Amino acid sequence: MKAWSWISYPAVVVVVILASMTMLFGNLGLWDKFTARQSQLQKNVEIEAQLRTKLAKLQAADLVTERQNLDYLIQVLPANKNISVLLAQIGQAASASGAIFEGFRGQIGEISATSSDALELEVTLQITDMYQLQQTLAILETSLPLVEVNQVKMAMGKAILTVEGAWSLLAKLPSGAQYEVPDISNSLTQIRSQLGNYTTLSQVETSLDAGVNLAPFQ
Amino acid sequence: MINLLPTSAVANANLSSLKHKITILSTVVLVGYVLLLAGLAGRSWYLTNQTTTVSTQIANLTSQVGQLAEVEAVLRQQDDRIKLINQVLNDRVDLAQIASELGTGSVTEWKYLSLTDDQKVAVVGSDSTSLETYAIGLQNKFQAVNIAALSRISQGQWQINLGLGRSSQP
Repeated sequence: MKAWSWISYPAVVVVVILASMTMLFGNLGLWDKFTARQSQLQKNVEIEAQLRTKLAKLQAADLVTERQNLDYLIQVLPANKNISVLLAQIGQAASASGAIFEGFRGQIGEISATSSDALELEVTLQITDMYQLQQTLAILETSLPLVEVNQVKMAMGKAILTVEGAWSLLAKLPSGAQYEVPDISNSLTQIRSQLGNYTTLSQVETSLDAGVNLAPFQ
Repeated sequence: MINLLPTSAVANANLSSLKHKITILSTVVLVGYVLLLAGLAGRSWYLTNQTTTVSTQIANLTSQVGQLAEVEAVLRQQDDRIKLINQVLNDRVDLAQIASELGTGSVTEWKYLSLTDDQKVAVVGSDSTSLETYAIGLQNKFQAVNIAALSRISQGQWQINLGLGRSSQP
């Protein structure tokens, strides 16, 4: 018996290693926890980097300037449905081109939470020639807030225009570290340059100061 | 050469050597394994430590970002509105082109709407500007042709209804 006692040491080593390996690498063992912790750390490091970038962008932005920019964009595309503004736009475009605003009709619903509720009017203009209609359309196309002329029907001395005023409620944006701060400087410059020669009606009141709630995050 | 050692003595010597080797190997394996475990434990401690540090940083940064929530809201609202504006600008027809340009348009379809007294046809195309230019061109060339209606029949498809009159031959 004593002759085989030497084997107890390597046997114990093997048993200890095998037993601890089961504990280490078995299902939901220490190794799994270790790798999970490692991937969690990696994820956290990424979130931290995102937050640092986000914070840098936010700190670089000037709230007053950005509010003015948003104000301008809301002037281009209002955040509420304003029938009187659309009527004023059409009326001014018609009178500037010599056409006579005869009447309008449209279904004006309530402002709903969705922006699918279109602001569409069918207006009838008295015109003497095609040029007046073309002028009216040209003025409408280059006026703010944006409008879309969806249909033009011609009748004797009259033009019936279906005009849609562009509008959209301010979006309810979700918040979180994963949402990046958009880099909008280029696209904003592009919009401003594209709409640079557009005219705004003086009485149009669509800005943030006109009671539009900024509707921050959900 | 004569083997002076008895066979059992040789076997004992070999066994003794084998025992020695196995013992050394076991020790090396054990030490290596313990070192590996120590390494893992060290790494685990580091990860725990780092996770705590990074979590603290995240909480701190989140708080700072939260203080600038209004700036973020304004910027993201701008982004959203810019997308909507571009959508409107891309979607609408440039009717101003009608007044200034004439030429042939990319008409994809001619439709007869009515073959009675007031012959009406509709021209359909995907490029509204070209289509309108085409219709205006027709109208200018042929006095009897008149534009009866311009409408968007579906996304990216426009239709112009033309009154041809009784005697027109476009």
